[in-house]
Amino acid sequence: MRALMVVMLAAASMDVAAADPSEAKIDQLMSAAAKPAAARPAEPKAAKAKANEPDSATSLVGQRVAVTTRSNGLYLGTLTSVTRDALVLAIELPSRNLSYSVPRSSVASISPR
Amino acid sequence: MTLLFIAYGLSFIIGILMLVRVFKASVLDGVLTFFIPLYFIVPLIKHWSDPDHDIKFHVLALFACVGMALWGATRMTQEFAGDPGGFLSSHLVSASAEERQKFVQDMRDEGIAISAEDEKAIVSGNKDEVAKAFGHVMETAHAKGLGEEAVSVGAATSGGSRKRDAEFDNPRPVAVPDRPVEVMSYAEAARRAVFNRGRWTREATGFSVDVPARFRLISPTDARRLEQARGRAEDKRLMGWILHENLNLADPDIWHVSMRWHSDGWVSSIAFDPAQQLTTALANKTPAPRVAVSAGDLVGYAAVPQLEGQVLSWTEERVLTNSDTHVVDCHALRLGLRGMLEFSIVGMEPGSLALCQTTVRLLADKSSFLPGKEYVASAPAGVAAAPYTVATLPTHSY
Repeated sequence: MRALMVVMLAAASMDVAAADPSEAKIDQLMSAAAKPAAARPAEPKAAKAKANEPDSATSLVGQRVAVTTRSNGLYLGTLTSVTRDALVLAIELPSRNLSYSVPRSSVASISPR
Repeated sequence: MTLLFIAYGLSFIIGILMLVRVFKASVLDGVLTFFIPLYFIVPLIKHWSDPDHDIKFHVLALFACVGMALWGATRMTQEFAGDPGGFLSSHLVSASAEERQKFVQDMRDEGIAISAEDEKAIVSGNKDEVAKAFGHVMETAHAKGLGEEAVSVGAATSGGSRKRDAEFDNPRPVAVPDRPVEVMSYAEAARRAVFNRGRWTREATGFSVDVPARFRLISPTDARRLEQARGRAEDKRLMGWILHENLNLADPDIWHVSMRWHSDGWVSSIAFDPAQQLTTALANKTPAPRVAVSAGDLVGYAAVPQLEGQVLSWTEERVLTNSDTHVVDCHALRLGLRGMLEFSIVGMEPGSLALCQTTVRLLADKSSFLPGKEYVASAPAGVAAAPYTVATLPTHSY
């Protein structure tokens, strides 16, 4: 019986190892999406300390900027305000002018355009 | 067909008689003969000279029945190939009116157009009228074309007079044949949808998709029914839906991957600058997206365009029309010699960005073009170029 269980466990682990990494990632993301949203983790101390430092983004307020995000995203617009939590861009869309807020935690870089 | 049924009936009776004889000789041999194919050879040899238990004449008769069944099946096939209308009508006249009506409905379910007059003639049961109606239905079906299935059948029966990869070789967008999409409720369309697993090949277009283990592919016909049931305009480029096994198709708000084929020609893979692309896209007040997108304005790229190998991928964040709701549309396009295969998820919540991107990218990686139809880096001779490039596609400006 023990040998049978060992063989079954080995087979199961081989199956997991053989799965495509992208497929495994999708499974994880699907499971995460199915679970209720977890409480937001506390902001790291380093980030808190950084928040107290002078903000270079404030110097770009009023300018047209390109904001790149940590997920390789890109947003273009006029920087209208900078807060501790977000950068606010004014983006001109075909049908309206949008005030778009980019969370500071997801910003990778900001540069004038 | 009658001969086939007689042969089946006779072989059944002879088989029972043979089994009884073997049981009388040995219960064990009888059980083994019943459950194990070809085990009858053992009692055949064992009791060859035993006049009470030998089964050589039973086996001989069984072989004769098999020969008769094969001959009957061959004749039936030839009869059908020679005159399908006559063959079907001769068998339909012996069916009940309800069965004939059901037959008409089944044909309609398969996308074959049948006029009211033809339906009346088929249901009437009159052999001549049924044959005439069949002839008319088949003429109409051939004239209109029946999608890929009809192309395959046409190529096989008409000596290949119809080009199999007409869809692939045509550099312009090819309209899907005017197959009437049935109007039905979403629940009914979802119930009827067939899930495909493993490798799914579309030879007419020249690509195949190795459907990942946890995903299911829904064919173009079923996907169009589902789209129609959701009140969407018919998408002529739609090749199917792909969805994760954990999602319930019965839910009309389910997210899925739309697989679409663009037969616009060879797409140039020139270098591009995402910032410049986004500038162009935002400046364009009348965008004309080639890819499937949500109804709304582009806000930015949630993931900038990237060309890795022969797969172009990017993700757009959009704000829905007359709403403040933001969604992401993920795209991964595999380039081919004369077009591109698109995998898109539209209208996903921004919080599911990673799932959206990973899924379309995985499917693009799992797709491939058949030999001779793969992408080439430089413009191939004799192949029309698409009116867009990998640089202009994400801008929706051409």
